[in-house]
Amino acid sequence: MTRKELAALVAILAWLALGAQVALATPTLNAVVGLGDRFVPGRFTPVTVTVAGLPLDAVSLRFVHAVGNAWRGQASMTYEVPLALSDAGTQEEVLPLYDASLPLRVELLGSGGEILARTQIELRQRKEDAAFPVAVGSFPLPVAERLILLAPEELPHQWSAYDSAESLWIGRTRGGVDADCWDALARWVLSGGTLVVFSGSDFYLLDAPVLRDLLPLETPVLIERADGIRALEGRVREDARVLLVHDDVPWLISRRFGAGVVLLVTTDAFSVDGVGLAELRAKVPPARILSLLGTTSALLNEQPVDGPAPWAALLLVAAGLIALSAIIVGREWRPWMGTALLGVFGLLAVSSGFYANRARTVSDVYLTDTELHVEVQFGIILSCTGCFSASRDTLHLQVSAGHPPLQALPRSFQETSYDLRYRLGEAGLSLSPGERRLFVGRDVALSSLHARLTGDEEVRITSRLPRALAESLLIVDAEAFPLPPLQPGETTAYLGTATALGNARLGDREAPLERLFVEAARALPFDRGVWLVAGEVVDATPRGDGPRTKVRDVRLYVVEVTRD
Amino acid sequence: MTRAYVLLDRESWRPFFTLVFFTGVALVLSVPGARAVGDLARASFLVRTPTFFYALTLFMGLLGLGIGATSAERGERGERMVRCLLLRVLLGEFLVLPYLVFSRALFPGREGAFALVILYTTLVSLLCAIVSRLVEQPLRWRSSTGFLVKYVFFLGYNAVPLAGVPLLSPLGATRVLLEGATPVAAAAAFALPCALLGVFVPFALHVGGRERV
Repeated sequence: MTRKELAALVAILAWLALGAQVALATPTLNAVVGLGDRFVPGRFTPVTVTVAGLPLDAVSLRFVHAVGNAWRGQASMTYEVPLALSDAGTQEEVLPLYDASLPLRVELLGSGGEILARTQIELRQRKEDAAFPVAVGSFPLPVAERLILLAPEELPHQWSAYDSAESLWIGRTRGGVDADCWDALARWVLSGGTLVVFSGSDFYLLDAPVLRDLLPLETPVLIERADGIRALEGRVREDARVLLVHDDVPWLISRRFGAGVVLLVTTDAFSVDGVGLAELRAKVPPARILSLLGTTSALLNEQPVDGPAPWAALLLVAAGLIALSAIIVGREWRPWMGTALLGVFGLLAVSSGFYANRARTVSDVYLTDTELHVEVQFGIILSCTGCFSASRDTLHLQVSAGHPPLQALPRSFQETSYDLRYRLGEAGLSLSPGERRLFVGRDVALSSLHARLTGDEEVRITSRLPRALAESLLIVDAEAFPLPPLQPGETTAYLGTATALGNARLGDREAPLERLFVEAARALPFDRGVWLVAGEVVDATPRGDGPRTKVRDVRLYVVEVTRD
Repeated sequence: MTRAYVLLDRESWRPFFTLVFFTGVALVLSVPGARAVGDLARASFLVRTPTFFYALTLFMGLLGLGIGATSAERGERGERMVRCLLLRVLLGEFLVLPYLVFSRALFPGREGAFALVILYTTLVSLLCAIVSRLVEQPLRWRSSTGFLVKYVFFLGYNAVPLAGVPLLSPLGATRVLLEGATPVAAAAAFALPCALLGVFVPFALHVGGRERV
């Protein structure tokens, strides 16, 4: 090899090495959308992003979702969340997706906002028109139509990610289900989800503390039925119902858990034949996630408006005209008239100033925030924010939200801009004059209230909230007992006269709390067990640089009470 | 013979009464009668538009036309005439001061814009008063020609620019000032009345002649 050839070879190798370095340093993004690659537009959807070759200056992920078309109008939803990759280099986010016509763009952003990597996910072929059943693990037969099969490790870890599921069936799994996934599934059921668990000989593969809390059976044990099939047996909980029996052993047991339902099949999935499966299918209700949209919309409509009264303006005008007539009409000019005019109109101006004070100033934006905290062993927060612009101009608003909120979108976007920009806990939007919007949020609740029924007539309540809750009730087996206001810290209360649950009121009739309570009572099993229900309504006008905003916070806490 | 210089009397109270009455009506119409947000959505467009400030701009201009005519009728002239016109315009602003204070509750956080609108309407009213005085001067008394000329001027000044450059119209300028105008836009809004006053005031002093003592 000549020196010339050697030099050429070294140059080629150096070039290849440099290219490899460049290639290695280029970050790549990969994203999976939906439950088993399927999603329903207009619902919360899990998006799992995998980053390879992570650059040091990467700080956040941005998702850009275009909604609509030329006829319907277009809106752009942008969600920017901090980068928090797991050890495996993945990040799971739950985003509201509204449309499948345009791809979802995912971008990895640097500290200066520059795009370090990007990818696009086609949504069209992943779209489902309605919620679908999801099965986890293996089954000998398809348990439902339009079924989406998931491996246990594909289960999302956030409860709101299951929004597209009509029901979730757990069959035979080799390694069981991750504890975080059990937690998410339990919260989903609490919010209104439907969970079907096949147990039998597979029970101990699935067994987990959260599953035991969910099961309609207490102290479950495996027995062998007369037909030789192993079945789970135990004491059926008070709030559970046996729906089907095989060989004198309960085969399908149902239990309301929060707003949802848990169905336990006491045998494993592979012991079920076609007939049994058809019987089972008929007993599985679709998930009905608690929604505060209607209540919040009504509460926003009823939110009181600040402002001076028309009669006050009328009185002022009348006073001005009478004074002016009395002083000047039909008179020749005299110096006292000048003094009288200055005195009377000065006095009217001062009175106006006193009357039209801060409390009587109109607001640009009215915001009603409703939150329903449901707490059992774990908790969820269902929230909804409604806003209305009373301003004469288009306003740019920042609404606080822990996660990207789901916007209630109309059919057409032609009239105004429905663009939403979510960035680090704040959703930015613009509101045209007279326009209203509603946003849905879902979150995990930290334990804020704990109550213990120590005897027949005494209840001990611990509140970790910073404020007192003015309205509270204790519901014991469909009987409601009014309680005194719950102060922060410990409160011991004694039960007085009970009223039937149907007649119980939380605050005034038609008041915001009562409305929310009625909504919760429709979905949650207040007819069984002991529940503490407490709430507050806080009206505030936060001072700030933005548009003057009147905020009404309506919070209702529903806590399952333990009995000694 | 000229009569004594007075702010207002039995012959000149009408423009002031008209101002207080019509701006008052506009104020009442601007107050939202809604008690809840649901009612606000159905509120009239008058509540959504700055009706009171439009009425203020319009009727301060009409006040100017009225007091200009009265000034001509009385044969007022010279610097004292200009001073008297300004005083009457300021009296008009003072008479609607209770409404302005009240309307602060309808336009929160726009006190700066209020000050600009008051200053602007004062200038426009003074301009209208001077123009009215100049139109009435050669025609003596309030003839139909004088009436026609000054009201055509007033309508043209308010309406014509709205089709092209709204900032040149008092109504358009009021809207811009209320919406939080940039310094350039505010300066542009003030430029026209200031320039016209710069032309008409010396002219009024010249045509009207020096005051005879």
